[in-house]
Amino acid sequence: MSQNASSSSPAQTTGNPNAFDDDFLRRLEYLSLLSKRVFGGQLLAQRRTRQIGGGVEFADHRDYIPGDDLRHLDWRVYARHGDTLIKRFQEEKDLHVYLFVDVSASMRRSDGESPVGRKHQGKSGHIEKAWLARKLAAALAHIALSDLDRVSVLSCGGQLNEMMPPVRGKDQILPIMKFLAAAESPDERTDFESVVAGFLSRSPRPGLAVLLSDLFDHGAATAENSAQGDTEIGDVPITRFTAGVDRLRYANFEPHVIQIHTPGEADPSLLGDVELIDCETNRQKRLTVDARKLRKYREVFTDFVDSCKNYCIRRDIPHTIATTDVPFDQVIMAMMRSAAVGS
Amino acid sequence: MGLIAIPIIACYLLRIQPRKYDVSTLMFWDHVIQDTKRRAWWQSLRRWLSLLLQLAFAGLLIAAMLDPILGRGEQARDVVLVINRSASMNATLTKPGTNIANGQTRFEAALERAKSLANGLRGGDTMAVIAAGGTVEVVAGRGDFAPSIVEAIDSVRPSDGPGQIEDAIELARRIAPEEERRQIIVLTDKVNPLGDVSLDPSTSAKASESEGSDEAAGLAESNASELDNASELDGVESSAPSDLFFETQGETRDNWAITSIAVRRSLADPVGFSTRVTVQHFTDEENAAEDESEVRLKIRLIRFEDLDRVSTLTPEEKANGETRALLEGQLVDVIPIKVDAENGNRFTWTTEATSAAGGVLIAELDFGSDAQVDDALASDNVARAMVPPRPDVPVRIIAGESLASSEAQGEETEEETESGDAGLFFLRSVLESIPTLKVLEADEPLPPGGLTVWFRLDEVPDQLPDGPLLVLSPQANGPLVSGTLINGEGGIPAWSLGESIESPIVAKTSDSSPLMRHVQMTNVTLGNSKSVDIASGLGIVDSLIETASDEVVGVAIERTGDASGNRVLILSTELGTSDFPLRIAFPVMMTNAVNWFTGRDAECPLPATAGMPSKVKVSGSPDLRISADRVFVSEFRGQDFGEASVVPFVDEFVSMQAIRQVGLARVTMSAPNSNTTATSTTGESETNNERANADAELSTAAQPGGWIAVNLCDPSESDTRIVSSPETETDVSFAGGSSPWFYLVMVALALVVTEWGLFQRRIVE
Repeated sequence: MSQNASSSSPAQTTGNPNAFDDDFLRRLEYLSLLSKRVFGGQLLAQRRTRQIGGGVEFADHRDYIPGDDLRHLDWRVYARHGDTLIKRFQEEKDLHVYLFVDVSASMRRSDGESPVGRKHQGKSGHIEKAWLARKLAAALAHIALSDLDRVSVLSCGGQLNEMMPPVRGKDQILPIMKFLAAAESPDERTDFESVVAGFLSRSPRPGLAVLLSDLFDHGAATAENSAQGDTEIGDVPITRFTAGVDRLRYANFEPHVIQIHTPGEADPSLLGDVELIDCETNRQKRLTVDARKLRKYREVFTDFVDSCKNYCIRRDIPHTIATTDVPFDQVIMAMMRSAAVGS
Repeated sequence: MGLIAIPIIACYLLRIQPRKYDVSTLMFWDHVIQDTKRRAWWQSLRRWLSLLLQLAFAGLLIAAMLDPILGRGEQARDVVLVINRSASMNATLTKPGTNIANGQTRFEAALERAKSLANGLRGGDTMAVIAAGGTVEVVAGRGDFAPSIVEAIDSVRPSDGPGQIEDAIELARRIAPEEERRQIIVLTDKVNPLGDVSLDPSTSAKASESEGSDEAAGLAESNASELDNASELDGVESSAPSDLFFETQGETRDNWAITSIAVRRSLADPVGFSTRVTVQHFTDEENAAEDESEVRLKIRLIRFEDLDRVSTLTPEEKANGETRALLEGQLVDVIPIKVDAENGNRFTWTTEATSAAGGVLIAELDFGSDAQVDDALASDNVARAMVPPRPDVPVRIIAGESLASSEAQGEETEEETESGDAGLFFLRSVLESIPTLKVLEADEPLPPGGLTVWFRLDEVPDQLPDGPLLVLSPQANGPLVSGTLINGEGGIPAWSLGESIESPIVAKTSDSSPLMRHVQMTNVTLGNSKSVDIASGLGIVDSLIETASDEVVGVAIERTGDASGNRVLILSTELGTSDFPLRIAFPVMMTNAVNWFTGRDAECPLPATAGMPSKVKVSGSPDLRISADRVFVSEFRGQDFGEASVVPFVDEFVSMQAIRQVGLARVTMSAPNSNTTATSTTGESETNNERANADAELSTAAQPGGWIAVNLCDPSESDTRIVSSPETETDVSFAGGSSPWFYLVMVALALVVTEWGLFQRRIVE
């Protein structure tokens, strides 16, 4: 169930990486067309086939597929233009897709922004993690809207910041993109459990919940400790996001985790005496980085990613790893290929 | 020092401010730190330690720039390096505790040490380099630029000759006249090869007073050879001078050596040679003579014709190994060596059997497969000697008619005929007793170059024969000699006989002529002799025997002109009526005459000594004659010849510059009839252009000449043992090695690396 797109080729985006530009829209349309053929039933299509013809309100046309009920064929269109289109109607029970986009401070990081006040050389082309999350969310929303699903986008950080009510229809993609572009988090920390708690307090209809985050969840307790200057985290688990996911599962949501990180986070190039500043907690740590510590860091980070993946696998939760050096469409393609194989 | 420390501390304070990085989370770094073991207490001090290291680094650099003077105060030095390049310096060094050579010689170790000393020059120091071989040579005058001195040291080449250390030290004292600044460092393998008396610098004080260093630096080997030797130093008190330091290179090693090889006239054979080779084992082992080591002496002989062929080989033939095949020679004998412990571990081998064809006799030590044989020096394992050729000389005796047919004597009395028969008998007996002479029968034709004997000829032929001529008891004047015409007609006889002398008394004999060597004419009655008068212009006349009345009865003529090279000996005494044939003087004189006619010398050519200028006789083919405008000598090395150099020559003797290596030297001559202009052949004053011209001549007009053997054969050089003598070997460590500046910088760099590792932790495993 877990997909990993981090081994794909580097980014080849031509426009501004931190914006929804024309290039992004072209890729989005292409993905939408692809998804109709590739999605077999794991993500959205399964519900779509079950709901076709379930309503009475006309909603859309789609191409005729052999096997469709000829009663829904739009004969008028056929008589006028010769096109075989099937009339689609509003579902009686809509599928709700909730896209949780983490816009906390850690998600606004990219490999091109360290050290403080200077730009990294050679990695300035990598986009922020938050923008990769925005693009992935927009792509998934477009696909879902194309299938007449209801899509709701939520920006979150330490808590649920803002929630775009569920919308339906392909024409809603632009409002969604505007919402995503404007999504900011006043809270610097990440606390997914608080986000889910705020979300569930609004009594949403169960559906698919896609979490796009780096999963660097400090949690409320850790944040307090950090504020007091306690740098030792002891046995506090670093995979605190699971509390929020578990709560979603208990509320009959179907979670889907897309874990985003930068290549530099997995393999930092620090060396020597450095002072590290946590961008979410502003906690500072001085240390001398040598080869041994770098090696240890890579082991810890790999353990963290593996623990996230294992958690999802054990609970049959789809898990995708995305790195900022990989274009969003390749991540979506990897997800679609994985879904096709899974079906 | 304080000013330097200020920027270091400032930089240190700036550098200890770590670079700041924004990271997404510190969760992982917290785990990394948690898993890393806590630092030791001293690790918390590493920042201060880093600062201290930097300050130490700065301090060392400052000390290096100040160039501290260690050991001898602040006075600059005039260092003169004397590098011994004698043969013993070619002894190989061994790996510690073994007899296995490590591939380096004492000379190479000395060069390395010399370069190390040159690199250790401080500011204000000067250094000169002298190479002490058979000749003393200043390879680098006083200078302070280490790279050029090192380059000069690299140009020093080893030699197989002796080492004139004493002359080199004298020259060094002239080069560096200021005694208080002077340091003479002798890099040699002998602790004190001169004895204590020669170490006193006062002996050279007079020489150094008036001469500047530059002038002294220009003194070449010729001056060095003129320096006073140890004989002048007798009576000088033994004292260790403060300006002389010996550094011993290498360690004591055993050595096998051929210490002498000689070819001389045989006592048993008047025209033969005997060979004597002496081998000596230099060792400190008491029972070395009892060791059953399989050391053998191999004797080989290379014919002169093969050597001449070496000179004419084409490059293709050389590539095919023809040179090696020709120089391999013929194995003559293999003699097991059993040294005599009571005679200094010597072994002597002699032989009377030598080849009549002559050649180069090579004595070579063969150690077989016995790897236990410790032999430090290779150049003394082979020695060469020239064995002159002894070709058969055909002799044809032409006797007078009265002897050939007694019936036809006519005018001669019976008494005269009997005396003539006796004389002929004596003559034939003596000539036949000489091994290399072959007396032909009357009807046998005389080959070219054969000896003609005219005995009691009443009527001489019309002209002198082409070749050597022995005239005994002439009865008539010699043939008319063309070219000495009188009044445009006829000529004069080659010799004219005077009145008969009944009982002549020998009053004077030639001392310089080789014909009269070992010929005692005391109380010899010649009887019925006639005075001989030689025509002028016939050639160079040497009167051998004169009577009390100044009558010449024996004369040697070396003809000139068209018959150049032909020799004539005339003895105008009756052999039958005198007791001369009965005396030992007669066969000795006839033997001398044969040698004189054939160009042989009674003295065998001595080998040249490597590394020493010498005047040696050229050996070669039987018909070798040096008659040229120029003579060239080139060393034969391995497969080819070295650069040819023009050498002066007198007769068959050439004066050679020092040939550095043992082996063979080829003597070539420009063609006598070539159009080359005879110029000065003094090698020392020869300019480069002359040398180039000489090479051009050699390539175009040279013709094969002879060969010269170059040997070491010096027991003092072959003795590679080193006697430890600490009182004469002075520690010169303060003067050598790299400069303190160098060491300080090295220490400073080491501190930088240490500091970098401690503080920056850049060392990645």
